[in-house]
Order: sequence, then C-alpha cells, then structure tokens
Amino acid sequence: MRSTAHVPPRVAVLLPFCSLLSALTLVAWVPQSGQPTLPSGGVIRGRVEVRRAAPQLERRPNVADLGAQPAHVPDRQDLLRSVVYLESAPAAAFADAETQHASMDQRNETFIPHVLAIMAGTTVDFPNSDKTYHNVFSISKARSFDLGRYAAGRSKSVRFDRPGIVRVFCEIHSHMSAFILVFNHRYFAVTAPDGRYQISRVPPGRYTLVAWNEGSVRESRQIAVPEGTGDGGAVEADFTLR
Amino acid sequence: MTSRLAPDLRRTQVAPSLPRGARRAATSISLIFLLALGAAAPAHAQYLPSQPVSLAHGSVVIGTDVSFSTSTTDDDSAWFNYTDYEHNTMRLMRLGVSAHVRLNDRVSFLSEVRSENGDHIRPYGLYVRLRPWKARAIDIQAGRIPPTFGAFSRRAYANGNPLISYPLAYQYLTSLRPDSVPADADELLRMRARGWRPSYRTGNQSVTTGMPMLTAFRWDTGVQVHAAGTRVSGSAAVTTGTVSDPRVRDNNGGKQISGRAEWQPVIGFVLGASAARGPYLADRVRDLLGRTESSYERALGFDVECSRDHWIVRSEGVWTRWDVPTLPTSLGAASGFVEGTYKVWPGVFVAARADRLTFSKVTGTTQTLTWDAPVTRMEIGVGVYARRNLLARTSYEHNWRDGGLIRSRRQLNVQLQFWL
Repeated sequence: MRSTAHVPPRVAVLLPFCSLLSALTLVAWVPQSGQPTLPSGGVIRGRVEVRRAAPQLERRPNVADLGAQPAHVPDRQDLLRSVVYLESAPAAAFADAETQHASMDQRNETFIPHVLAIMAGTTVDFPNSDKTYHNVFSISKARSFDLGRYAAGRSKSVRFDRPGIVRVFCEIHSHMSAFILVFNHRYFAVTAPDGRYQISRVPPGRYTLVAWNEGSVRESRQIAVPEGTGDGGAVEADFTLR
Repeated sequence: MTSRLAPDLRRTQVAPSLPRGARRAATSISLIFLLALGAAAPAHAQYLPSQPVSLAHGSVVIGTDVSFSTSTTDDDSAWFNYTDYEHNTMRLMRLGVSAHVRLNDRVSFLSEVRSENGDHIRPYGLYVRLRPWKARAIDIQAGRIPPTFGAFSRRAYANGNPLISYPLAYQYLTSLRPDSVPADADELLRMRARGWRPSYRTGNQSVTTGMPMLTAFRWDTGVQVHAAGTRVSGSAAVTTGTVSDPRVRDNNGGKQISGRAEWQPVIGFVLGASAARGPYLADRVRDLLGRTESSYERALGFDVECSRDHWIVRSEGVWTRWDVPTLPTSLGAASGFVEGTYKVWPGVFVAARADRLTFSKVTGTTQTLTWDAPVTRMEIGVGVYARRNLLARTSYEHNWRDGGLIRSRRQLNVQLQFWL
C-alpha cells in the first residue's frame, strides 16, 4: 500500500508555479554584493613589540642519522608574529558567513606562516612544497586532524569550525610547528614583520583588545571605539609582550 | 638445567636497594632532564615543552627521551625480551639525553647518554661528524657511531618503534658468546634456548648473556663515511666490534667492515641493503684454540619501508653466519619481520608486527637439531598521543619457541614515553 498523500490535479498544476514565484522572490531579497551588509566602523591599529627571543624550532639531535640533515633555518621574524583581536565582538560580526580559504605552506621543513588567524568556517590548505613527505596533524581540542603522509606538489585541506587555538605539527619532522587561531568573528589581525597591525570596520563601542603571542604570552586592555571614527579616525593601541 | 631468571632481573629494577653508583647516575641524568625541561619551559609556558633545548643560537641542541615500560607478567617474561645489557625490555625505565654541538658548518659533535633502570650512564653514541665539502652531502663520523647495518637500530628514539618490544633479530639473545665457544655440537645443543646465560667450557666460564644477531642497544666504535644523493645514499664503516657484539675496547685486533646502500625510487618507498663482516671471537678464546681457525661473523640484510597517507609498512630480513672454530660448519641464523602502523584517528594509531627467528641445524652425537631454538613473535598494539611528545601505548605480545623450558609466553605491555 502506498503511503504518499493524493494531490488533486489542480493543486498539482499550481505547485511548480508557486515554487518558481517563491524562488524569484528570494533571489530579489539577496543583496547584490552577495554578502551581508556590515556597518562601517572605526579602526584599531598599533604595534606589538615582542621583547623575547623567537621560539627555537630546532631539530632534535639527529644522533642516529648516518649523515647530517639539510640546514633548517626558519624565518625568525615570522616566528615572532603576534595576533591582536577583540575578545568579544558586536553581533554584526557574526553575520559575516562568507566562506573563506587560507593556506599554510610546508617549505624547507617549515610551516609558512608560523601563525595564521582565521574565521570559523575557513578551510585551510596545506600544500607540500618540499621534496620529502610531510604529515600535518593536530590533536588540539579546537580541531584535531591528521592528513597522513603526502608528497611534494600535493595539498590537503582542513575546515576549522570551532573557535580556539590549534597547534599544528608535522609527524615526520619534529621541528615543524605552527599555530592557527580560529575566531568566531572577523575582528583580528596578524602583526606584520615590524609588529604593526590594523583591525578595520570596528563598530563603535567598548571592547577588550588582546595581543597574543605563542607560548601563553598574552596582554589585554580596554579600548573604546568612538562614534564617527569610520572616516579616517583610528584608535591606537600598542602592546609590549615579554 | 635451568634456573629462574627473576632474581637476576630484580637486581636491575629501580628499587630502594639500588647501589650508590646507580642512584648517583639516576640522579644525575634526572637532573639533566629537569634542567632541560626548565630551560624549555619559559618559552612554552602554557604547554608541555615540545621542542629540544637550544642554546647559543642553535649551536647546542639538547633533547631528552624518557620511557617507562611495564608488563602484566613477572620477570620470567624476559626469557624472550632479555637484552645484552641484562634488562627486560618490557620492564624498563630509560632516561636518555642527546646533544648536538655544532662548532661550524663542517664540524659537529653528537652524543647520546642513557641510563636504564637506574644503572650507570652509558654513552650510547658519542662521535664527531665532519663535512669536508660544504656543498656535498658527504659526512665522516668517528667515535661511537650509529650502526651502518640495518634500518631498525637507527630509529633512535623509542617513538621510532611503533611497538614496545624489539624485533627478534635486534634483541633476542642466541646461545653464542664472543668470549667462549662450545667444545662440540653436543655442548652447543645443551644451550638451546639459553641465550640469557649460556656457558661453555672453552673460554670465559662466567655467567653472562649470549649475543643477538644484531644489537639495538649498543653502538660500535670506529669510522663511518656516508654519502647521499637525491635518490641513493650509501655508508661504509670500519669498526672495532661486530654487529652482534659492538665494542669500545677491541678484544681481538680485527676490524669489522660494514656497508649499507639505500634507494628511494619514489618518495615514501625505500629499499635498503646491508652487509657486514668481522671477527667476533675474543683473542682469549682464540689463543686457547691456537688461532688456526677463522672466527668471522658475516651478516647480510635487506629492508623495505613503504608509507602513504596513514600507513607505514616496514620489513627487514637478516642472515648471519658465525664461524665457530670447534665446529665443522659455521652456524647460521635468519630472521625477518613485517610491521605495519595505521593511524585510525588523530593521535591514535594501531600497529602490529610478525617476527620470526630461525637457526641452521647441527648434528650432535644423538640428534640433529637447530643449534638454538627458533622463535616466533606476534605483537599488536595501540598508541595514544596525549601531547605531541607524550605517548601512552599498550600491546599484546605472544612468543613461541621450539625448545627450552618456556615454550610460549603471552603478555600485555604498557609504555609511557616523553621526549623533547
């Protein structure tokens, strides 16, 4: 016995027409840009000075190797990059559901960049630009994954949906590590090599601004983004991390 | 006649009755380990340290390796897991500190010291590495150097071994000794399955262990040359001891020559071949026999490693022959294992190894038998990474032997490891 309900012939003719009309109405409502409209706001900018040595990502002593391994010389400036972010964000920030892509390369047995900041929902590609195998993995609570071993020229991807700090390693090369900071808003910035950063389009309000550097080095302060800073006005906030 | 092994092993356990020297050694190495941890901690305060300690802008790098293994069975299980350092690998606390001191682009010093079960500190590796031409991947190493032969013994850190036990070829003690020989085949056959304490009338009659085919627990002393290309690499070494009996002090005036070649046709697939030849019998025994007969040990090995995605499969086969001056034919042994590792989830892997060790036959007065009892070992295990460098694992091991008092032994093993 069939369980589907019987549809009268007249209704059956009207259904496709109504569906088409509904679809056209929905399309007309979607903004032309394809993105939700965000309020234009102020700018927070400044400089983060890291007064400590760059993390040392040395190989373990290769006592059992029959010969020397190629020199591993990571970019010290890249290792000192910090992330500045708002600890809480205005509700409008969460409306930005744009699908994003980011990349963390593996080159010269180093993750590049060493620190990556992304929004939740972002997919990160991990291309292998070396001539050896790499095996990217993480057992962080925010996102655990293991991409397995893959060779040069190949890339694998991971989508990060939960906010948090994800520490990334290569299973084969113990000196390879990196950080991915996942936020549920877009108000964050990774510092430039000179330590400067800028967070744009911040709606007016009072916020806790945090500067983070790897190894639990963290400093926060209260800031206020006043009304009317959207046209060139900016809030300056410098940090010194030790 | 066989006595129980347990009293010998218990003597080596970490216990309040440790001799003063051992306590001092354990304290020293623990102090080094804690200092290393302390130096690493400030840089990574919110995490357990995961990187080796680096000093003088990377010129000095210090790593540590700590493991603790225990088993459900009592010390008798060492019938199968005993080492030439007289330890049960399944009841072992190992502290290791390794260091790489780079003087310049051409000269480095490398060292690894270990203490097992609170014993005194042993220099596992201690050598200088020279790179005569900066642009060419040719290295010369001299001192107590890493083994040229085989692949497993260079998985230096415990996490390089996916299981807790060692392959039979690298650990299981045969009934041959470098300092004494059986007078005839009958005496040899009486020592079948007694590799943990064989004794013969000719030579040193004190009780000590036999030799494994290859040892993963000691490195030899000598000079080694290694050259690496894009797909092919090769090594050759001249050393004081042999693959079965690596030595710091020479005991016979002869040198072992060993070589190894590796070919990597594609990334993730490595084929290796090794060979070694050298005199293994001590002069004290040869003197008793008039030094007329050969006393060489010859070894040949092949290995393969294949890895892709979440799989690693490795296999090794080793053939060894020892000349025994008192016997009409040389004694042979062959061993092979296949092991596989598969990562089931991030930080969780399963591993298994099938291992077999067999021996050639000799004919005594009344019977023809393999000169030592063949052994088969199966082990399966699971490992969980609590941190990137903190591993807990457990394994189930089953050993079978075609001779001796203990013919079969099953046990559950647990190991905790931490390394920098």
